[in-house]
Amino acid sequence: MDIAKETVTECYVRVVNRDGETRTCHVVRFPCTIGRVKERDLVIEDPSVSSLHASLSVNAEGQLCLEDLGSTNGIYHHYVQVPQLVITQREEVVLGQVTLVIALTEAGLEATPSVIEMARKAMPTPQSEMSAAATTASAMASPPAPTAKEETTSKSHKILKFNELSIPSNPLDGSPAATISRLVGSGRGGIVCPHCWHRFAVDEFLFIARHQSLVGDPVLGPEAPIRFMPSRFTPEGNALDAAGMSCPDMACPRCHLRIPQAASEMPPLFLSIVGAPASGKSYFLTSMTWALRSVLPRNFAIAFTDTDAVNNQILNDFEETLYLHLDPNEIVGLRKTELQGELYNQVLIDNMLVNLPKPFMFTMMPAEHHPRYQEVKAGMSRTLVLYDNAGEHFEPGMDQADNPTTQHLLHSDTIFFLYDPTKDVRFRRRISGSQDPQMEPTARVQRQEIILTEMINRIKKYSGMKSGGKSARTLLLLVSKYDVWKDLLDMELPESPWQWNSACNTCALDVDLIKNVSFAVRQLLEDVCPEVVATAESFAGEVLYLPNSALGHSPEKQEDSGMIGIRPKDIRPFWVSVPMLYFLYEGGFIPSIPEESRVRHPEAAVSCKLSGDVYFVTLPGRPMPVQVPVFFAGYQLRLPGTDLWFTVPPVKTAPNMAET
Amino acid sequence: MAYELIYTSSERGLRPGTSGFCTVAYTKGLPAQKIPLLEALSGYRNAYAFQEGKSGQEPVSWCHYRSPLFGREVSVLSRISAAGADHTGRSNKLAHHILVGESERVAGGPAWVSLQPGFFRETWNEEPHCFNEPKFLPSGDFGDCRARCWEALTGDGGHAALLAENVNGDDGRVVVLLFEPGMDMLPLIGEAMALLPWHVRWRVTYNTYFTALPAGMLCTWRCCLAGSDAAREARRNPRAMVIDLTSPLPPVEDTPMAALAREGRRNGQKELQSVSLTLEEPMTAPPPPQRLSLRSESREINMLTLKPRQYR
Repeated sequence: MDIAKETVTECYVRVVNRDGETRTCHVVRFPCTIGRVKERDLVIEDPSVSSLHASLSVNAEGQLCLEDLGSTNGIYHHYVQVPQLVITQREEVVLGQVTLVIALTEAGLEATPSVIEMARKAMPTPQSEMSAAATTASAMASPPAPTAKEETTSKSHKILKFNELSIPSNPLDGSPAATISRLVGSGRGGIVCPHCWHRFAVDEFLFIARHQSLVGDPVLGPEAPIRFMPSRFTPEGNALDAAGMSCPDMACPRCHLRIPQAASEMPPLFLSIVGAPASGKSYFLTSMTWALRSVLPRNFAIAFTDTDAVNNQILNDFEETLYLHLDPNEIVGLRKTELQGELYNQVLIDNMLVNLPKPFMFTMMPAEHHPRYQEVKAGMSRTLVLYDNAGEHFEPGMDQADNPTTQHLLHSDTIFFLYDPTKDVRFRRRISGSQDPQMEPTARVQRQEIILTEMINRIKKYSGMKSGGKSARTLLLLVSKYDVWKDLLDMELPESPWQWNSACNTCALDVDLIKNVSFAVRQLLEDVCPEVVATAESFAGEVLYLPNSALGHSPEKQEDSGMIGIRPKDIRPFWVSVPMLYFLYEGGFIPSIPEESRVRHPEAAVSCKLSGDVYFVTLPGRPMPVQVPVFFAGYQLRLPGTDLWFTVPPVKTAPNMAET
Repeated sequence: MAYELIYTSSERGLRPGTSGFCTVAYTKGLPAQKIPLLEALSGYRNAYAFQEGKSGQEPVSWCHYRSPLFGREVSVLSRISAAGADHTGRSNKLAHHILVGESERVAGGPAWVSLQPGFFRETWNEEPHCFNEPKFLPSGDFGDCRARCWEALTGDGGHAALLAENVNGDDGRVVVLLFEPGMDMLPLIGEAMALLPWHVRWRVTYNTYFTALPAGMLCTWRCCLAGSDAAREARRNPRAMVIDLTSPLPPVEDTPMAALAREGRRNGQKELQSVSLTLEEPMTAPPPPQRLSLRSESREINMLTLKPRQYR
């Protein structure tokens, strides 16, 4: 039966959790997101599943396609991690410790399990779960489950098989490339260069010659050390260059730029920060990384360190300027981000001079005192890759072949769009009495939804997304310079939206509060600049609106030079780490406050009517219903300006799917 | 025909929709594919931190690069400098580039041209616009070649020969000059270049404030701020000759070029040829630059009627 020739309109998904319990879902609308949190279309409440793990969609050929959305534990198909999988018949995939059986018909689900599926049943399971797994296996009329001893034997055998399958045969065995983690070899189809985003296999790594005579690279210029494919190695596994020197440094086969070994060992998490010129991207980036250096290890048992001090030197200089300056009274500042120069690498690709933004890279690993260290060590060890683009790069017409400085947008796991209210004349009219030089009548204003639209268009153009399609990624819309406009938000916000959770010996993120703040900010934006809300929500299935202030204080203008800066003593950043923490929460890296510890407010009697992806909520005493996007469903929300609390029901089955 | 392009941070750029760092002016007819090349050469690295308040003392990057991109080699003469605060109250820069064709190469060479007052713009307060006329390079040459600036700085004008003697063939050895803030490097470069035959001068590439080599470009004489990353990098380059102007220089050998730098050229003395043996020497003296005119002589005759044109 060749089902793939017709456009898929439905499918069936059987979820087999780690206890062997099964449930079957009938998916009738696509894309269908799969994840741990209740906002997803198909919710799998298992800690090994990321909050946004995967999506089921129908591709241009009308085929059903399962895609990994940057999950921590990936999707395994026949023991090989796959970034995406076209499903034309019954397929079994594993998400963390949960198995999904996907078929195009309900009868298709019942096909005979494959040999590999049987082997999967006997794959590593904690001692406490072995009996359950064995029970499930026997219930499915499979061959008798092995005894505990037999399972141990078969486990080691299976792990060996796994390694053989996930790592392509590598001629560089024994070299540093061969020591690259199994995660990289299997992660999303190889390694993604953080400089040019070229995806390549581990055995395509070039090595960088060290002997001083071996210079002259066709891509990097006559003075750069030669890049080469090695044929000889030292006993330690380093490549030998033509002069016989040991070469540990590796480079991308396309742009020839050096990739730190740590970055090649840990799968990357790409983060794009987008915004108009002078919206404060560099200040936000600096304050965010500075805050994360302390917040993550101290509160969430996650080490956050420079992957490579050379790559991060510019950002480290920024941090020193703002946070480690000797004189707290001296006005300091960051220079305007340029479109050429030290923030970029210029390379010659195809006889074309191409500017590539220098990535900043941070290593994130669970600290040894992390409550689930052994369990999450491999999955949580990631390289966070960030870029400090100039705002000009996002303006229409700036996307050029020789200046692909924003193409990280295609690979980004999350996007932070910085919306600057001081650049919006409508916000300015509502803010009174501010002495901020950015609010002076002569200060420039700009339509920022144009930048947002341009960003969306670039992503759609290069990723092949349909013009009407929505991204499954969460877009974080950060309303910056909160210190200037905080009076417009009818809320008192705590400095740190997280609480100590003694159950896991780390802090837990107050996601309820964050969602409630997001709702309040959305209501404000919809009132002041509705086109920004409409543009953001036309692109992303979920948008999180967060306030933040990179400096927490208005800058001052230097009388002599006319430049604006800030005194270090005035710097008090506000909520700069929260967007990243939410992203890490979504990825399953950090916990949220458990249900039983959450504060519940008395709720008003409301009526909710779902239409598309928006709830129309009628509240007592209000003639007009409030529009609440479905991504707020399940969270207790307060209508700004009132004491009315309400919750819209989670959309578990409708509108995308019906559970059978 | 020489084209020029100006790049700075402005509220509005020449291309619709652009603002911030962008091109604000260029000569009409500048080939579109060369605009990104010139923009890519506009990088500038401030020597001082914002809070040091020394924006007036930032070094100026006067440079001459040659690029083999786009098939035919082109010369780019540039002046890039810090430019105070822009319209958003943040640091600005001004880059002025001149794309020089082969026929515009005047005898004085790139450094001599750059030294001519008013040739490069040092401020920009205009609305974005196109230049209707091509940029004309002034014609002229150095005087007696005596290296007075070198003499004033190091006590011996003969040190200028250290640079000129390393120009050999097409590229020559990279010479790195380490300088301190406040040293005016362009006259030093000019005096070293004056020692070379005119047709060699345009083969020499230089930057009076070198921070990094743009991909696809050559740069032979590099002035690096002492203590900068570029200076440290240069010291690690075994093939570069480093001249540290921040400390006393060793004596220079008595070579014809050193003598020329010390004493200058006497009337009637010919150019020294020792450094240009590998280069094809032109048969004649350098041509004076031809000023293009919309009403040049060749256009005074109506080619249809072969009669003199009648202008109204």
